[in-house]
Amino acid sequence: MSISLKESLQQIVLNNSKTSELVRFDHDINLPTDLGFDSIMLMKLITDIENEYDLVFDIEELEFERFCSFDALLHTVQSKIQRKGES
Amino acid sequence: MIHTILLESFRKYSDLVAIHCDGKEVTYTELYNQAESLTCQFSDLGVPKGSHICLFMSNCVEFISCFFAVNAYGSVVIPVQPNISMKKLSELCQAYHIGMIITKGSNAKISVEELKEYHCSASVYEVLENSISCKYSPYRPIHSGSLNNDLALILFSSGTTGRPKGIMLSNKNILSNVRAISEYLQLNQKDRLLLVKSLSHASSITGEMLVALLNGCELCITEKVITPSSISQIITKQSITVFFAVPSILNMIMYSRQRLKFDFSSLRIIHFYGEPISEHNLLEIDRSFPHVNLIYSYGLTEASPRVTYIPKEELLRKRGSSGKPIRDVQVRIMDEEGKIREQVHVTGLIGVEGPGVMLGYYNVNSTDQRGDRASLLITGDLGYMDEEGYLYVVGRKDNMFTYMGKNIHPEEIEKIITAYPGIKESVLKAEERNQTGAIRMVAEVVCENRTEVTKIELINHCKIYLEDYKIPHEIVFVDELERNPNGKILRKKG
Repeated sequence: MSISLKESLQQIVLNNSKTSELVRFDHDINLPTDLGFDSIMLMKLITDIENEYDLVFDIEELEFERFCSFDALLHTVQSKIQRKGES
Repeated sequence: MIHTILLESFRKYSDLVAIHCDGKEVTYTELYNQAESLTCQFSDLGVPKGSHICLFMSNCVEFISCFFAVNAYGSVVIPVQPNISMKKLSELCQAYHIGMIITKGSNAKISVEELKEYHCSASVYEVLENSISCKYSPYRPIHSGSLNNDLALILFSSGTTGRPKGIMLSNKNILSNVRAISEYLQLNQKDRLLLVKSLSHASSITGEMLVALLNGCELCITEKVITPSSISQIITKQSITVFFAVPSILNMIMYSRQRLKFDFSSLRIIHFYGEPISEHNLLEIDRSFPHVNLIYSYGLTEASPRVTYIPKEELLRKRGSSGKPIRDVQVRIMDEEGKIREQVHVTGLIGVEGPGVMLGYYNVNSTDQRGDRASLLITGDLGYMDEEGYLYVVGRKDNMFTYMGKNIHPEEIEKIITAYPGIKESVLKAEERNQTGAIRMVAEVVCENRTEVTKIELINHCKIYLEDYKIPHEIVFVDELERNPNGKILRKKG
């Protein structure tokens, strides 16, 4: 059974987070404040996302705001995958 | 004064590009004019000379122009990474007598409301290109004139071994280090340098920003999120010739699946520092970038920061060495009492003497960083010299622990483990057994992609090269090692 993009992204975020507690994605989660992401962890997260979905984020796309919360991240990845499919 | 670097370069390289930041180019003339304009505004605002001024922003053109402006004004730069809470920022202002915080709205989030709540004693100004405007001013801002006329910078230690300390560096400290680094890097006006680490570190300020600007180079920085592919994109698009990195970032680029999509042919130097690099990774980097001169350097903020360097041919010949001292710097090996040892191949505390040695720690009256001569800085690292004058860093004194009455340097064991084929990196942790209090050595090991190594293989490998008491009790395979925000491996739990 295939899992949705949202679920697979949640899994990547959880694998990269510091928390071992159960995280509920029922509201927008801020990666630095809620899950303890620092710059190195964010770097690793984006690298894992690029590898998982075979993407490369252009430098212009790497605005902090696009990656600082789960909803923003999901939107960024969804748009990127969509653009990749169209090209 | 440090700002003479910009003055000299403005005269020599006026129309050349000094800084490239996310598509925006600033020439030496423009950078000089921006800094000049800011210096005049400090005067107009009545900022007392010698004030402690915090630059609270991530890497951007304004950070660099403010840095020179504050220095030219005769005040003290205190760079702070903008990822700390307002409570912590207020505490820093109190402890380090900061009278003014300069921030940049687009890249540093500052909450004036919260600062008021914490009774922050500093005024807050926002900078945009060459002008600053006041965002918050307390009833009575503190402006502390510096006790030492030559004090230029206060930087914070990385805090891996306790509470960060404020390291005071003078104009003389910084200038001597910049000129010595410049001598061995041999840069020219055609070079484009990529700086990705935060400008709140001594290595970024001295070894990258100032060295680039002294030599008329183009310094490339970004306000975007740094990732291995964004670094690779900048190197490709900007035809970067010199790249500075800590080994962990280099490793991420090396092992990124996207690496082959980029062109690294413009690179001529990769300069790495900050943590040791394993022999295996060094050979991998050399194999991937055979045309590049790999330079490793050892240093610490307290020494402004570079102490030794070693170029590629020596790095491959003198495996595991950190090289020879840079110009005007002497490295000494000392015993526990701080007395200098003359013998080679004898491990002791590494001491540093020279013009880069800090003025001291801010508001800490301590002599425990000094050896038997007042000018000798005890680094806290352990190492030895060989007969040719090359330094070998064995590990941190703080990392050392005792097992069965014998000293264990975790780095020695990690080096052996990482040398095994298919091992990417490792860290040895000492865990206390709950009831007995005895130490249990656990090695956390990261394998390369698609490599299968067994625990038994690793233990047998350790038995060949290590004494019995140094063999880890347990090997744990992990996906990655835990690191602090500066990328340094965390050795202690919690």
